[in-house]
This record gives sequence, structure tokens and C-alpha cells, in this order.
Amino acid sequence: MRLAWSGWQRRNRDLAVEIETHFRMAIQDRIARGEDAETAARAVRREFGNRLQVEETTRAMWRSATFEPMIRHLRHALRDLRRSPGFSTAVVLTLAVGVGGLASIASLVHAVLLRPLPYPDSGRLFSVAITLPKIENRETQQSDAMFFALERLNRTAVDLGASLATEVNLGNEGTPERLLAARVSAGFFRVLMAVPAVGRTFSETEDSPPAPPVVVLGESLWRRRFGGARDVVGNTVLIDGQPHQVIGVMPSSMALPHDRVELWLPLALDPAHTLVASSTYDVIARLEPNVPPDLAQRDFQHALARMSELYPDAGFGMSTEYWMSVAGPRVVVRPLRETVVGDIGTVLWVLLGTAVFVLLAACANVGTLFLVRAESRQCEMAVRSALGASRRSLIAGLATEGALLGTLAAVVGVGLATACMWLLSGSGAAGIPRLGEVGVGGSVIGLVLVLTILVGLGCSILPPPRITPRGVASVVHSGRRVSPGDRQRTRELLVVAQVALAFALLAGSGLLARTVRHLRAVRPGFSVPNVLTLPVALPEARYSGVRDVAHQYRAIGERLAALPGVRTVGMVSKLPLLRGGVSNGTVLVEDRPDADITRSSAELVVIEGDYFQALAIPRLAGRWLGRTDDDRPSDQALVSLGFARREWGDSTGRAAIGRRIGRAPDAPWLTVVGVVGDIRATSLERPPEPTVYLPINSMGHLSPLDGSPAARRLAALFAPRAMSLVLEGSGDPEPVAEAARAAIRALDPAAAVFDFMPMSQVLSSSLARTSFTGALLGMAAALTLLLGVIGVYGVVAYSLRLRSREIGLRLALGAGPARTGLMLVRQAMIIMAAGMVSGLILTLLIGGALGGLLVGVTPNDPITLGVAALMLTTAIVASSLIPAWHAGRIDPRSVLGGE
Amino acid sequence: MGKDDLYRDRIELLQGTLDLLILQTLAWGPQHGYGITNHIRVNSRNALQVDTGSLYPALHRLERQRWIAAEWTVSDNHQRVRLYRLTAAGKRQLAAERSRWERLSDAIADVLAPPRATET
Repeated sequence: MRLAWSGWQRRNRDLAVEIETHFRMAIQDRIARGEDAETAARAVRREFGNRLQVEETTRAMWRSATFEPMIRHLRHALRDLRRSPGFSTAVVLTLAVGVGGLASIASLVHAVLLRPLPYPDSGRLFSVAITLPKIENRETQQSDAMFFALERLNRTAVDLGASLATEVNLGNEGTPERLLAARVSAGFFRVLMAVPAVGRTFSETEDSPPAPPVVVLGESLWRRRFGGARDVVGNTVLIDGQPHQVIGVMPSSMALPHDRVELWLPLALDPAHTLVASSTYDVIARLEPNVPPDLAQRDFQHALARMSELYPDAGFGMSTEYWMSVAGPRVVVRPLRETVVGDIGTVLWVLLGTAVFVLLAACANVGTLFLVRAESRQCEMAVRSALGASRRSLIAGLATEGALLGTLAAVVGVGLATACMWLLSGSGAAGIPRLGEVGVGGSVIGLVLVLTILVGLGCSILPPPRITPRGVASVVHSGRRVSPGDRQRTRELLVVAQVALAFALLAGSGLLARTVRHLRAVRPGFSVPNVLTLPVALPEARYSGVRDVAHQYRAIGERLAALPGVRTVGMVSKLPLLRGGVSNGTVLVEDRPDADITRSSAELVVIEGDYFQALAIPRLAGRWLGRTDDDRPSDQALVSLGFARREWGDSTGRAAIGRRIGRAPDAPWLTVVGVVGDIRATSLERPPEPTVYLPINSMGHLSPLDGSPAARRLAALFAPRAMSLVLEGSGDPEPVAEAARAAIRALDPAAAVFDFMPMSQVLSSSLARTSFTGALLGMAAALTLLLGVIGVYGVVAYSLRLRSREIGLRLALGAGPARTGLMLVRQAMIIMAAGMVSGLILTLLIGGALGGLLVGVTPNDPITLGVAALMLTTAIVASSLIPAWHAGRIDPRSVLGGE
Repeated sequence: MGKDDLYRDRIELLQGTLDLLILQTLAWGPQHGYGITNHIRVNSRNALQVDTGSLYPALHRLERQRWIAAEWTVSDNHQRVRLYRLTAAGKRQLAAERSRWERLSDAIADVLAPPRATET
């Protein structure tokens, strides 16, 4: 644009010079022929005629016939809009907010839901999970035996890969860094066709036991620790105290098994030592070209059915065949993208719907603005038409104005959206996956431009100038508007639409607010005030067995309990409401051998110290775990009330005391010594799950660790290297956290201590996604409500202007100000009623979409709808009161005398 | 001879012939605007005087049609002048316009000549 303009200016200068030279040469020639300078100049000037006109005609040759009128319209439009800055600003801002919101959410939807995964031919990538319909309803991971069976016996996949998310300590003792890592099979990178930025990935040999100490770094870790040096391959890093050789670097686009993984280690599953029934590994597959997922599902299911051929023994004294018959494992094949995106989809589609609503409301508002403008410009249009402007050129002028405003709004809107995206990706909002590379893309910008220009065009031409020859005369003559009635009707309809949209959004955000309130009111079963959590991980290399680990944790507990400001110290393998740590597992119940396996799955949580006291989880029967000697494995356990009720059918918990449960057929039995209250450990939305609490040294028979993957896994299960400290105390948590950190470092300099988090924050972050959605919806609702109120005010104020004569007459004839005011309020009420009825219908129609997000409240909750209606009524009545008040104060003389 | 005699007896240019004259002038070699006026005037023995108000629009139009091209140079007497020259497309256009003109003037001559007896 600027380029074209500067080109135009240069050509203008050139032309002036060219003609000037011509002029001078003509004079010189005449002088050469003997004329005096003055006569020559005069003669040439006469001959030349109007020089400006010569230039103008010449310039006309440059322009194309089609663009010239457009430029003229554009210039007119710019001038007109500059002359009414209020109107232009209102239109641009309203539209920009509407379209900016849509662009933000559309960018999110595109980045998170629609964009293909950043791997070649990613449509062929699927995740392969397992459900055990006869045991539990949720989806779980595969066992190593299942993975080997599928890998060997399938006929529809190019490759399969297994992964296990884990955490490691990286770096020197004293300052280890705790990182999220993953152990992956050699096929994992092959499935994704992920090409390392530097070096290579694991070979088949490296992926078989014993796994060599090699590591593939993630790009961010590589940049952070090695400054992005390309010769990093061959360097050694300390992982969990063991030197590992770097063999490659993965680009940052590699974000599996989850998007915060920073390094990959070989998984090295051992086909000779497998567990059939332990759900541990995430499995992904790249299907052969053109294999539909349901075909792959049948094929994998078939392969799984033949697992017993490879691994006849399921452990726990069961044959694989028997386990298959009681657990009934089913293969679930779904696009990898769905697995990566998770359940955020519902939220995003709801938000996209919201953004569309806001945009519609904004459009209605802009439409109203244009209608008003059309009214006030009737006289101008009439004059222009009388002066010879064709109807077509008048409409073209209006359209140019609309398109210009639309373009401006698009620019501002895209700017708003970019700012929103920037804020959003910075905040890591509400655990939305794939936010890293989110931005306002070209397709979204294109959409915004097309949308806003269409809206601008539509709104500007919607009220076409109604110019008839007679109309011109009457308008110009009287200087008054003609027949505003049907336009006022259009405006009213637009405002009704706005009110309806505002109602729907208010109701939606109200429903979400009630969901959040409901979840906050849910009693999680534990208490949060003054509780600080502090995850700790002990380095694997320094401790030879469960006994050592238990001893160290006990020492840490004692040291921390002595800190000032700390009253109670406990430890737990898995904090309530947070992911990670031990979870679901199989428990054997005495006198009820594996005959009834379906009932023996439970949450397994390892605890130490006064965990229950710190979180104020009540003891309902029996006693706490007794203090045992470090050197003797503990033979005690606690169970939750839910577990006691399920296993022994007793809702007081007393029947559970003295019963025995076991983790494995060859492990010693544990005696239930107490029953504690149920807590919502998975999420606030889910009911408490039956839980078994084990003391940290309950599995002493497993030590020393033999280093086999199976033993490693069991050790991880029973003597977790990573525990979360739970400190209950008084006062400011920060100094306590620092003191605790120092105390732990003093005991083991290599222990990794992570960021502390108050328990209250754990609780609120589990509500983050719903709160986030609710907040966005609330903002949208507020905005729409504001637009609706402005709309109603506009209609009422305008009808006051139209009816000022009538009102003046009424006042003159003795009607009181209250009655005339009421007349206008009544108009607002009619609009509002119509809007609210259509809003209610709209809400009930779309309520189902919101259903998935709601907890403890139904989409047609009468209280929420009632509150929304009340808020809307209040706002709208208030907005119509101002013009109504003015109506009562009209001076009849001034309005009537003008005629 | 009076000073204005030079410009007496001028003939108004026929619509469309100016393009032909400009193209033909430039066929002899590159020329600036004033030069073209002079050339046409001298070669028509003062009968044709090109109006500047027609000349420059015509030049710029022909330039846009890419029949002629222009560039800035410095003339013999040190003035910056815009020099026009005929392009390849311009040469083809000149040939076409010439033949059109010739057909037209033949036709006019035929009309103006005394009628010939038609063969029966």
C-alpha cells in the first residue's frame, strides 16, 4: 500500500519535470528564432493551455478504469468515518471484541483439536489401550506380556512402541534436578518416525536387558544443560547417580508420552520375565496404510487372545487363560491425537460456541449502529442523489464504508486475539495440552478478515438508502426523516436477538459457576488449611533396598517433626487429587482366594508417619499403624471404609479389624489394624475409591533389589523412591518449606526436593479447568449483557426521539411524567420478554452441549435460569429508565413549537 | 513573415491518428515530448501542431500499453529529459496502424474521386 503510494508520488514529480522541460525547450526555441524572453514565455503559455489540466489528463492515463472509482469511494468513506469518530470507534471496537474472541478460541481449537500431530503421516498413529470390563470400568495400560503378544502376533501394524512415564534425578549430588522422563522401547521412535535433531535413538540391542546406560535428551534440556552444543553425543550425564551416555537429541516437537517429558531412557523389557496382569505401559502403534482402526482393533484382540500361547503363567498362582477369562481384557484402539488431547475437547467446543454467540451479539449491535446511521444520513443521501449520484454509486459508497470498518475491526481483532494467545500460552492455562506452539494462524486470520468484511458489508447495505424522486424532494424540503417505523422494527428484532444471546450465556456461565461451587463444597474427606506438601525423591543408586529407603524416610520424618512451626509430619506415595505415584492394583483377601478376583482391585497407597493426622482423615475403627522395627518388615495395613464395606460388608469398619490381605501369593499376609475415612483421591468429581494403605516397610522380603525390571517395578510400588511430605503446622509455609528442604539435604545431599505446594493449592488446581471455562464464559456473558443493555438503551432512547412530539403532546394534555416514562419502559419490557423467551429456548436447546462439564447441576436448573433472568431484567429495566426519565421532562413547548 | 505564421493553417488531428504519428516519429529514433511535437510539425510542413494537452496523455497511454518505453536522460543542452523509444510491440502496432490508415485513406480517396463506371 505504502509502496504504491510512493510510486504514485514519484510519477507525479516526474510528470511535472517532464512538462516543465517541454515548456522551457519551447521558450528556448522561440528565443533562438529571435523572440524576446517575455513574449516567448507568454506565447508558449498560451499555446500550452492549462498546465494543471494537462497533468490531470495525463495522470488519468495511469489509472485503471475499475480501480479509480473504488479509490474515490475509499477516500470518501475515510473522510466520512473520520467525521463521525464515535460511530466508527463503536463499530470497530464492538466487532473487534467479538471477532477477536472468536479468533482466540478458533486458534485454540485449531492448535489443540484440529492440527495433526507433528509426526509424519500422523493419521496412521493410534494408541492401544486395554479395558478389563469384568474388573473395572476405566481404561488401563498394557502389561509387558500383552505388548509382546500384540507386537509379535498382529498383522495390521507396521510397528508398536511401549513407554513408561517416570521421573529421574539429573546431575550431580547436591543439586540434582528432578525431571519428567520416559522409558521407551526401540519401536517407540520408529512408530512416530521421529527423527532426532542430533545423533540417533535406541537400537534393538540397547532396548534389551540389561539396558545400557544411554539417554536421548529433549531439546529444551539439551539447550539448558549443554547450550545446544551439537557435539553433545558421547557426553556423559548423571541420571539417578549413574553415568549415562548421550546418544541423541529429540526436537521440541517430540512430546510423547506426554508434553513435559525431558529425556528418554531405554525401556528394555525382558520377554523372559513378564507379568501378564500388571497394567503399566502406554502402547502406540503405526498401522499399515489404509487399515481402518476397527480392523486393527479386531486384529489386536485376536493377537491378545493368543497371549497364553506365549505366556501361559499369569503369576499370582493363575494361568493366563484363567486370568483372561476372569478379567476379559479388551483392546481399545483410538487415534493417538485423541489420547494426546484428552477430554479438553468438550471445553473447547463449548468455548467456541460461546465465542460465536458473542460475535453474533456484537454483529447485532453493529447492525443497530448502522441502522441509526442510515436514519441520520437520509437527508445527506437524498441531497447526493439529487445532485446526480446514482443509486448504485450510493450503495457502493456505503459498502466501501462497511468493508473499511470491517477491515479495521479485523486488524484490531487479530491484535486482540494475538495478545490473548500470548497471555494464554504463558499461563499454561488449566492444563490444556499442545498449548506450546499455539498462535493465531493464517487460516484463522483469513477467517476473521472474511467474516468482518462480510459483516461490515452486510450491515452497511442492510439499510439501503430509500431514494425515490418524490422522497428526495420531501426529505430535502422538510429536512426530516421518512417512515422510520420498519427500521425501528428491525432494530428491535436485533436487540431481541442480543437479549436472547445474553440470556443463554448468562445461564451457561451460571451453570458452570454452580458446578465450581458444588465441587468446592464437596467434602474431599481431608482437611487442607495449614498443610504444606513437599515432594521428595531419593536417588536409586544410594539405597540398596526397601529397608534403607524406609529407614531414610523415617529419619527425614523425625528431623522435620522437630522443626519449629511443624506439628505433624506424614508421607504418602500419592497426594490426593494429583497424578502420579502408586495407584490401582490387585489385592488378595484371605479366605477369599483368587476365586473372586473381580472384587479385589483397590487403590494402593504407601504411607509413613502421621499422614492421616496431618490431613485430618478420621480413624473409624481399630488403631493407627504401630511403630515397628526398621529391620523387620511390617505386617500391618489400614483400609478405607469403602474397602471394608466392599470386602466385608460392614459400614462401621469394625468387621475389618484383624482380617488379612496380601499383595502377592508369595508375600506375607498383612493384618488390617484400622479403618480410616474415605477420601476423594482421584478427583473431586469421582466418588472415593476403595483404598489400602501400606506402611513403607511392608514389603521387606523384596530386598535387596536384584535389578531386574520386575523387581524394580515392584520396588517402585512398595518402596517408592518418591514420596510427598505432608507437613501440618501453623503460620507461614514458606520458611517451613525452606527449613525442611535444608534438613532433607543434610540427610541426603542427592535427594531431590521439589517445589512445595500448599494443599489448598492442590485442591484449587484440580478445579482449574472448570474454573477457567467458567471464567471465560462469565466474561463472555458480561460482554454480551453489556451489548444487550446498550442495545435496549439505544432502541428506547431512539424511540423517545421519534416520539418526542407525541410525548410532548401527551404531557401538554396533562399526562404525568411517570406515565409517559412507563410507556417507554413498557417497550423495553416487551423486547426483553421476547428476548428472554427465545433465550430460554436457546439455552434448553444447547444445554446438552454443556452437560459434560456440569457436576451436581442439570443444564435446565431452574435456579440458575431464574437468576439469569433476574439479572437480565434488572439490567435492562435500569437501562431503559434513563430515557424514560428524560421523556417525563420533555418541554412540550420546545417540541411542539418547532413545527 | 509574422511570428504566428508558423502556426497558421493548422489541421485538427483526426481522432486516433495521433498515436500513429507518435509511433511513426519514434520509428526514426528515440525522442522526447517536445522533440516529437517539433518533428510532427516540421514534417507536416507546419500543418500539424500537436497540442501538449493531447500529447502527454497519449504518450503515457502508449507507455502503459507497452508500445513505447521511456527513460530519463540528459539532453545535449544539459536538461533532464524523458526520452521515448519504440518497443517491439510498438513496431508491430505501428505496422498495423499504418495499414489501417492506408486502407482508410484509400477508401476516402475512392469516395472523393469521381465515380467510375461499374462493369455490367
